[in-house]
Amino acid sequence: MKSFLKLKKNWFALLSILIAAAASWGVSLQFRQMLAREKLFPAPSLTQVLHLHDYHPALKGTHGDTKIYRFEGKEPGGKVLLLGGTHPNEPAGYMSAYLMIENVQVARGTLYIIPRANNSAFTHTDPQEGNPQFFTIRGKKGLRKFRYGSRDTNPIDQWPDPDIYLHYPSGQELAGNETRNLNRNYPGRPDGTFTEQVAYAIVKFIQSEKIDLAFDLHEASPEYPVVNAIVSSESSQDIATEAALELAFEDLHYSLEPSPYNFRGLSHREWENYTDALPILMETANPIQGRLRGKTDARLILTGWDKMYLKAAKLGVLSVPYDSSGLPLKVRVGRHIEAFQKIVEIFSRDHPDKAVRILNLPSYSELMEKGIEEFF
Amino acid sequence: MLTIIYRIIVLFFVVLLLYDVFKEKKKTLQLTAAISLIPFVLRLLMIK
Repeated sequence: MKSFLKLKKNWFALLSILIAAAASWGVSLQFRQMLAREKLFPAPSLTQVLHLHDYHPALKGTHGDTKIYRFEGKEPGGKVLLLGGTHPNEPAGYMSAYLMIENVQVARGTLYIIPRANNSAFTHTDPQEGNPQFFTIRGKKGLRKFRYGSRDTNPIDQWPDPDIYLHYPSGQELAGNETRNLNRNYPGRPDGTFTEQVAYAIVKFIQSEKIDLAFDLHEASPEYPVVNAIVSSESSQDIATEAALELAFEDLHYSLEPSPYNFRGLSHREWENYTDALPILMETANPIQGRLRGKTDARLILTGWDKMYLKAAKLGVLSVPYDSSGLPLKVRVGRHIEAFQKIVEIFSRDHPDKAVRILNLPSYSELMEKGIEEFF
Repeated sequence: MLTIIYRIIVLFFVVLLLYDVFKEKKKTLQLTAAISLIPFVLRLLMIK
């Protein structure tokens, strides 16, 4: 009777708890959605699906584990790796990887694709940026929903950030949040932070599978100097230069950027130092990442059109040409896929014993004509 | 290890806030304490 009276007295407290519980449940459903992985429809030529934990077992069951799609041709040849999703707020990188997974055919050699390199960074969205959580494309296989994630590993998986991040093994000092940036953590270490372990697993994978040519696909804001660029190291600069020249004949212009010796932790620098692969990093220009952007929504990811960027272009402060047609996702994906194919072609020409022949990928002009939807 | 300590601290605040919800006399303060629980619960369960 007494407890009943107490309950009666505290009815508002119980109601408040119920309201809080309902709100927590509703909010958690939204956050849980960000953990779901996109459903992909791999091309019939898919040979095998590996996982990053095959190369570093500590990642098994964590958000750091990710799929590696392997496409092996009938003829033996070289091995190529393509990495998307190092930064999941740079959609042309992982959308190019997804497009390849769903369409590619390999006639010679082997192609490995890791579309969600930093899987943990797909599970959250950068705070205070107003970024959309998802964007959709009406493809041939139906309405496809894709995540727009963060640059860095989810703090749920790695925290707290130090004031100063010390890169291993160089000791280079960077801002604290860079400790969660996969592209500042190479070569990584097996007993390091979560992000160092993901980087370590990727390097271990490249070493174990004896990858010959490795790509890391990125995007950056249109005002950043390294956009529409191919970054290469000492060993890959010849093929990158040749590719940039040949692409220029197709009216696709790329700046050539050398991988800095003293900027450590980046994929191209550390893959050069710690593996036998020829490293290539490519950047396209993406307005949703820029500081000059206006309304930030899923439309901006797809169209790349922003009136503030139009003004900025007129003022001459951008690093890329920009007009009223914007920088649509198909242009950005088209540039990545065209340059990827060109570099593989040149590598195969220069290394006939390790040649890789990739079929069934659209050219840049085909993507412009048909749109990205045709390939999803 | 650090995460376990962190979650224990979060749990401590959850208990304090729950206590507050029942002990506060004003309804607005009870509701405020209950709403304050939301981020702590999400953190405790490592959802956010």
